[in-house]
Formats: sequence, structure tokens, C-alpha cells
Amino acid sequence: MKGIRTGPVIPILGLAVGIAAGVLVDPSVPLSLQPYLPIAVVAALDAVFGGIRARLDGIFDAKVFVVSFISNVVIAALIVFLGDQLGVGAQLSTAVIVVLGIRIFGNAAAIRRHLFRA
Amino acid sequence: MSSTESRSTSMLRRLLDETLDPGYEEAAGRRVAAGGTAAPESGWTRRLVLALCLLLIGALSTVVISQVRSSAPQREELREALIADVAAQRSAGDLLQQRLVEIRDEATRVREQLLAATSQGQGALDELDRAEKGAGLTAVRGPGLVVTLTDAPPPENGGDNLGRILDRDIQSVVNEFWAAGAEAVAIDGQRLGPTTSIRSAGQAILVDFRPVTNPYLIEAIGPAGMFDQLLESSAVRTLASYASSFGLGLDVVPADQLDLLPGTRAAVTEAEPVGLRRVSGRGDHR
Repeated sequence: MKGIRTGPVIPILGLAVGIAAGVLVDPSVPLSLQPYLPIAVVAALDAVFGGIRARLDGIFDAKVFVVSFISNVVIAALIVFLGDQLGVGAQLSTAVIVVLGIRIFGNAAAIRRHLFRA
Repeated sequence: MSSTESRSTSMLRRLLDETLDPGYEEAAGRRVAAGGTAAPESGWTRRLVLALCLLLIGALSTVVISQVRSSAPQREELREALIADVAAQRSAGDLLQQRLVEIRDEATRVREQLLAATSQGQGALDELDRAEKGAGLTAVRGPGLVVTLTDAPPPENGGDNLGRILDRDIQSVVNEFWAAGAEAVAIDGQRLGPTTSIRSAGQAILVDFRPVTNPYLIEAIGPAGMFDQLLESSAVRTLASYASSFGLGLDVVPADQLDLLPGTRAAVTEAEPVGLRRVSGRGDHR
């Protein structure tokens, strides 16, 4: 229980360092990867909101979070890639965004209920 | 939980209700079953991996945001660069054209010097002079007319502009000029030769494959009667009726003195020059 109480400092620090690194280094992304990155970011966002909610529910598990994050990103990118190969990339992207968007909204609502009891 | 019943009812319902990754609950359930608490212990490795993951997420997000932000101005930059390239190439072409004119002048001067020495040569020179004037290859000066054709302002409802100047409008005016005895004609400063084309390419009008732009200035040097004959011509009358009904601009003004530049020499691909003997021979017959 103690570990979880001190927990958020490290993830938030990690996030801050990541953002700083992204701003400072500004790496050039290979052109072939560019269509998949926005989807990957939305998938990562879904994992983050899921993680926050699980933490507020008291059942957060770092292993589950890491696995869900990685698989979310990879599967989202894979679906878009497959869609591009089949010529339905735009539609599949929309499908992925809709599903992830619904989950993000649901988790955000749960987080809101936890924080504001409303 | 409502999720157990909705699992059987519909996929959409599940999607809407089960927003949390089921993995968390399952993991918690396993821990409780093993006799522990719902919350896991968090070792340092787990925290480190978690921090790394979030680092990755932060970096990924910022990279994508900066990528999307920078790609829009990049496209604009590319467009500007292309426009600058076109302008640069065009001015380079103009420079080369100018250099060509200079070299040609030099060649003409040397030729005249050499030919003027003999009477045979003088005859050839006169012949050449007439041919070049006919082909529009010499700069000329004289009194003439200036016809200005202007596109009608675009209609406010965004429809087709019926008052736009077309290639055939310019063609008809030029033809009337030739018919009225014009000796030299130029469009937007570009001299017309015997093989010059006036054509549309999309929205642009090309004279000898070089674009001319609105307003179109057609200058012609010719006899004094040209003005009256042009005003009487069917082409100008038609254009005048277009001007009153569609709003295009038509302006015919006599000019005391016009300076027209020499035209470009058409590249000779099929014809072969006859020997100097034949040319001078013809000169001898006169």
C-alpha cells in the first residue's frame, strides 16, 4: 500500500522527462512510420487513462499497464497498417479512434467520479 | 456488475461499459484468490518500467505533435520554394534569350560587314533583310495601334466568368491586324512571327509556349488606314458586343511610335539551307 502512495511521483516524472526529451531532441520520424504515430499516441492515451482509473480503483498493476500499453500501441498500428494494405486504412483508422475514444471517455468519466464524487 | 450481463447482450454495450482494461480486474482477482490484497506490491523494477513507459508516451506524444505542426508550414514552404524556382528559371531563360539576341546581333553585324563589300553580297543582304522583316526577326519602330483586352471581373456568385478573354479572341484581333496590313505585331511585348502559336493551356494563354497575362496588350505597327479598318472588322465588332454583354475590356488606341522587339527564330528541323550561290544567283536575276 505504501508503494502505491509514493507511486505517482515516478510516472509523472517519467512523463515530464519524456515530454522534455521529445521537445529538445526533436527526432525525425521515418516517413514510413508517420501514418501510424497519431494512432499509436491515441492508443497510449487510452492506456494512460486506464492506468489512472485502475489506480483510483485501487487495483493498479504496473505489469498490466505496461502490457496493455505496448499491445494497444502495436495492435492499433498493426490494424492501420493492415488497413492501408487493404485500401481501407482511413476507415480502419476511424474505427480504432472511435473505439479508443469511447474507452478514454468512459475512463475519464470514472476518474471524474472518483475525484469529485460526482 | 452490469458487465456480466451485457457481455452476452451486445458487443457495443460491452464496449461502452467496460472501458477499463479487464486485465486489471483479473490481476486483482488472482491476487485476492492467492490470499493477498487487491492492490499489488510495487517493486522498484516495476516502477522503473512504468516510468520508462510513461517516458515513452510523453516523448511519442510530443514528437507527433511537433511533426503535425511542422508539416503544415513545410508544405507552404515547399510551395513558395517551387514558385521561387519557377521565377528563377524564367529569369534565367530571359537572360539566355537576351544573350542570344546579343550574339545574333553580333553575327548579323559581322555578316553585314562581310557581305557589304561586294555587290553580290549586297544583293544577298537586301534579300535577307526583307526575309527577316517578314519573319519578325528585327526590332522595328513606327506608328501603330494598341489594342488592350481585359478579362471581365469574376462574377460575384462564383460561377463561370463568361467575360474571360480566350485565345481565339486574341487570335481574331491579330488576324485582323495582319489583314489590315500590319507589318509587325506583338502580344504583351512578345513579337509574333510566321509560325507563332496563340493557344490556351488550361486557364493560361500561351504565345509561343510562353504565358501572357491579363490585361492582354496587342501592339501593331502598320499603315495609317489600319485604325479604321480594324474598327470596321468583324472581330472587333464581335468583341465590342461581348464587352457590352459580358463586361470584358476592349480598348483600341492609336500610337505615334511603337517599339517592337525582335521575335524568336523558329528552330529549323526539316528545311536545309540552300548554298550561298543559289541565293546570290537569285539576287543576280533582279
